[in-house]
Amino acid sequence: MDVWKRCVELLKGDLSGAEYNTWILPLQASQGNGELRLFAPNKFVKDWVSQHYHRQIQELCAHLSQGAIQSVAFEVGTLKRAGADGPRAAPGPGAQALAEASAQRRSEANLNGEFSFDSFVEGKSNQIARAASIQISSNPGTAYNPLFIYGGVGLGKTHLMHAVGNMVLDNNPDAQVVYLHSERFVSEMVKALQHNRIDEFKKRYRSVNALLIDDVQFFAGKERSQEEFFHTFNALFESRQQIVLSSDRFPKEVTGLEERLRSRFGWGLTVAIEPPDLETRVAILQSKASWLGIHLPEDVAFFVARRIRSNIRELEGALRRLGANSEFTGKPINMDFAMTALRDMLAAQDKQVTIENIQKTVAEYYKLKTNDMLSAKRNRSVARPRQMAMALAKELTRHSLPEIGSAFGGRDHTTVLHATRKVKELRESDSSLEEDYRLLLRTLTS
Amino acid sequence: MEQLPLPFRLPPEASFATLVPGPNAEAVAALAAWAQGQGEPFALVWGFPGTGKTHLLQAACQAVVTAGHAAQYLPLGHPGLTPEALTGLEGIGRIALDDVQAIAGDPAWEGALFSLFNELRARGGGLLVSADRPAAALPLALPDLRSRLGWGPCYRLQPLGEQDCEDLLRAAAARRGLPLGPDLVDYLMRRLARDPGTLLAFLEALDRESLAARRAPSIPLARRVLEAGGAGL
Repeated sequence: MDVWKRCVELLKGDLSGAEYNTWILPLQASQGNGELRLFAPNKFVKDWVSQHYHRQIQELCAHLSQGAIQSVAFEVGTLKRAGADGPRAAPGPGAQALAEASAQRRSEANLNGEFSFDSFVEGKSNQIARAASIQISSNPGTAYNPLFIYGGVGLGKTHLMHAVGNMVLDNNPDAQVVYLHSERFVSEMVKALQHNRIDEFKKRYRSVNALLIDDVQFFAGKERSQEEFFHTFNALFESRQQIVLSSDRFPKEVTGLEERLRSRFGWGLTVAIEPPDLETRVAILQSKASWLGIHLPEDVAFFVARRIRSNIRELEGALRRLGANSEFTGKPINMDFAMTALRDMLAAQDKQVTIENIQKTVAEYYKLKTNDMLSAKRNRSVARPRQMAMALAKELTRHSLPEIGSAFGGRDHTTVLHATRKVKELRESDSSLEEDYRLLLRTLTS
Repeated sequence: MEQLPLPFRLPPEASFATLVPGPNAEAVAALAAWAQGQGEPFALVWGFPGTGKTHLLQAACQAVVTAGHAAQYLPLGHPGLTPEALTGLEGIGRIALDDVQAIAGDPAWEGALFSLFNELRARGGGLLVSADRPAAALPLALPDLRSRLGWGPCYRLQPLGEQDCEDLLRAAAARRGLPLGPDLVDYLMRRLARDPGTLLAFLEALDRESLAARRAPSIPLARRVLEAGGAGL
């Protein structure tokens, strides 16, 4: 692949960083029969590259290969798959082979084995949903059909659905189980229509033993998909196969759905998942921490659980952030870091500190008028606060010294430099000034 | 007569090697691990403009490609992009999306990103997202997307400190073969805004001016560039 590598090097010199990284870096090349085939990750990138860079690439490659490459073709695809495909262990005998067969079935069903009933933390907010899910997993198709789970984002609906699928498979390894996000159902159907494979599609989903469809509210406004799903639903319902659905709201409130579908969603049992209470949030954090191998002290768990009330994904995000930091620093998780990390994560409207804001805050602190900061007055009661504000502006903003100077009534940059040096010196010798500085710094950054 | 320099521009060398981690060592280490397929597969980095988000994301994608895998970097603020740019990207393992706030509130974009996220998670892929604010504060219309973007660790990038900026200026100048004496560095550090974007843009302008004037960089030359550059520099 020398020609392509050299071509890339030359393009790197010609293009901006954004152009190079966006359009050239993702391409993978294969060469043969006087042709260079470039693989782009999707149609959009392929079209863009062939529209903007085809000639340039073709000319460079022809030149670099001394005419050996006569044409350049673009395709969608990849040569190697990154990330997902780790090395797989060779199939072994006994338990290992069994475990692999079970992992294979889960992957065909789109199930994540980590989402089980064991790893689901029970609390008042999800007790009923959990009990109903366990019941249908033990008696699929007979207990409640469909089971409709609803609740806000990130409260564990998906976890419960996977747990149902996993348990059905554990009880009956030959069961045909499929978990699918409703958007994926839609896109697979569209693809099947495009490729004349709609019969195959129908057959696949109408012949499963358990169909788990997540976030059915995403069917809203997609009439063709609703029609297809309606027939799938009927086929499964009539043959007494289990259907589990989830949504962010009660079936009757899902807008943009046909009435006949909405009413069917309510035929079985409808259960809600509410946001977890504090104790449950703490228990969730502790359970996830132990699963991730993170040592989470109890005070930190309570602190995080008190601050993050909205949903479990954000709880997990916070936990992962704490775990990453602890691994990076090699130090145990502690309150100090938890406070900093969470403040950053939760900063809803983190405003950038401006020079004006600093002038105002410092003036208020010293009981001056903001205008005094900008005035020509040089008596100490004004000059010292002004120096303090300048030093803070240098510390907290990225303005250059001349910019800071001009914001303080058109002063010279050497005045700013002098002010920052003076404040630094005074902070070391004068403890009350050091106290003022710290207080102001905290006010401005909190 | 002034010699006109060729309109030739060195691309920003957005690799981990040219990155000054400064106060962001933890985020840099996390993204380097991500590029190797280790650590957390989903992460969000956020910070104000000029804190190095773009550099970091591009560096991560370059490292993925260097390791022999496919990666896609997309600046979502780019006016030519449409939501179709995300279609099918789950087929490659590692994606980096810059400036996600640029598409917040647009239903077609949010839907496309939501699907991509779900597909990547189902297939064990990885996604890096950068934003100008934390996930919880993004003005997204789809709460499902917001909660997903906050699922992994969220790193706040801090601006480089004084000394980091000086190191960056020296290193970038050295890569351009541009000698900067201590007096000149001192002069520049007092006058330039302390963010990598400004420093690198200035260096490029200084390089051009020095080439056109056929003179090594000096304080008078730098002053000319500063005056010509106006408030932007």
